[in-house]
Amino acid sequence: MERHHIVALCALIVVGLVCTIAGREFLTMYQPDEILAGPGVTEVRLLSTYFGPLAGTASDTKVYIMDSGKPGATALVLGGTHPNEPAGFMTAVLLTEHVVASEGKLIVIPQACNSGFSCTDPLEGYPQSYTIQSKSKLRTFRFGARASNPVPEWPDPLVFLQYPSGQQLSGNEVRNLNRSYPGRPEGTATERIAYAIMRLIEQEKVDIAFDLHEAAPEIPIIDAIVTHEKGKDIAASALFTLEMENLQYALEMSPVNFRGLSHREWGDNSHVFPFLMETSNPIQGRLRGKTGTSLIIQGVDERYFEAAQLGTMRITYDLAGEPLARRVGRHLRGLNALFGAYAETVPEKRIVIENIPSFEAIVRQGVGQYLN
Amino acid sequence: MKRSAILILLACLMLVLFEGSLLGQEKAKFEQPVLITSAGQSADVTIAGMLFKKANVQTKALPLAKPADLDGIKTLVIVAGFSSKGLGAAGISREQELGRVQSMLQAAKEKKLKVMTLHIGGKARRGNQSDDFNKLAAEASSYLLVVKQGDEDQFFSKIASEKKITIDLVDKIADAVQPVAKAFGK
Amino acid sequence: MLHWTYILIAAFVFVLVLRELFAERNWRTQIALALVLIPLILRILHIK
Repeated sequence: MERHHIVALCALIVVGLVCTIAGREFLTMYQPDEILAGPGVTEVRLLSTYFGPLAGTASDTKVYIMDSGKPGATALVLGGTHPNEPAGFMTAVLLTEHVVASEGKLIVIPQACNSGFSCTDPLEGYPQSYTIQSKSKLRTFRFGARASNPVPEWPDPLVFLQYPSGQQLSGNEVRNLNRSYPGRPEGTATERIAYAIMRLIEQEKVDIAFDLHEAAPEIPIIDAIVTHEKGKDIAASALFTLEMENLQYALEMSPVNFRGLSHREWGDNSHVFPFLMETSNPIQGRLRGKTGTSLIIQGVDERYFEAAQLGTMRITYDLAGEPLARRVGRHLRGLNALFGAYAETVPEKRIVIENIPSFEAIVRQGVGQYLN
Repeated sequence: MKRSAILILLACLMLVLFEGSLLGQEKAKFEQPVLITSAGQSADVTIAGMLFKKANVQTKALPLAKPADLDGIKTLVIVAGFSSKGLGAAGISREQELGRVQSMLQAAKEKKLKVMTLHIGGKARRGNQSDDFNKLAAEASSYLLVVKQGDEDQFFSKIASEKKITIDLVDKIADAVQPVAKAFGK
Repeated sequence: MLHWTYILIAAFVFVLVLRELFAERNWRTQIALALVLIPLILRILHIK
């Protein structure tokens, strides 16, 4: 064998090794996250139960039902609408693994945009996954992209025409679940997820629904509850309760002329009282420095501290950062307060959820203490 | 001499007994009916409505109130703080909202109504976009009720000091119920 | 359809690059040719 043939063969072996290692790493993004249903879960379904064509696609996702068996309200909690917002996803996972409904019914979809967990946003440098030590083992969860995986829906249009409003948005918003409501059965993959969720709301007769999100700390709508106009009194009452727990929230009204969002379309197209909650997520911010798993879990970034010192932030940010435990704690207490406020408004239909940790407990012990 | 001493003593006693009401006259007294409106279209108007309800003060809340809505009103309450979502929900521009607030304050001045400004949104309702509304409302008021988090840089305290406006700073929104009740003599 | 179209194109380009790789005598050029194969192959996983 001649020398240059040997070089070629060696180069091919190296290429084979690189492709194998990188390929295996890449394919782990398609392995579903492990969610260990807790004692409160009475049934696990797929979203395709409510809209058959979703079955077998990347858009299908698990729906966890916690039915107390006692009459009361039905609540729906969505996490993972944007898979790069881990506090929304982890709050829903915690609910699934830890709480019990003692009145009414709680339905949780931890990964509403399931396909978005299998990809990342280009140029952001996001880590592929993060780990949390639970009560029993080290758990790994994927950190996805903001929108659905582009592969099944490729190519994006130049301009996304929101159905049915005709509102024009940037083309890549076609894969944003929170611009796709109410969805349609013959639409894009993401519109069909939205449609399936609307059907779930209708078929399960959901009374109160929550969409859990995060946003960059410098965004004005942060540490906030966004409400449809029919839920404003419930939201205002919940804010008082949260203040008693030393948790400040801003109250924001859902704009009537910004279509496609859960808090607008759920409210307009069903009887449900919809609420969207935002917490502050440094890894999404434009001011951030090094991007890594510690930024997801600890939420500490000196640039945000500097920004806070300069008075440019609308939230308090200190060197303790904005850890995942605190963000999940905010979502949980927000849910608890809104459940309570709803019960005051509609006393004949209550939902009572046991074992929601206090804010202090989850900040002290971490999210993992409440995972199986 | 004995008679003078008794008269002096009686006068002192009267002063002590009525000291409270004398001090109260230094603070603006507000009357009902009350109209609550927004300066900046934040949803804090809803929370303010709840506050007044807890204080047993009846109000009419109109986030997009116009000068004509002041007919029959004795007190105008402005809830200051900008919200981009709120403006979007209202379908108006920032400039239109500024114009509306200015016209409300002008009309209140012409009708000689008492104006109170509430700032209960904390840090979220401060910053460049909010402070135009905050300043406009605060300077036209005779009483400011502010959650402390929104006054960390003394923005409202300085206005109160310069314009000699009564200001109450509270730790939380819920703590604002008592000052509201007191302002209306409850 | 997209998946199989890409695999066909990738296979064709792979064969062309392989021929050049074994014909080339300069080791630096050989490494460059080999590197071209990496995204070509990994792209198959992305399109799935």
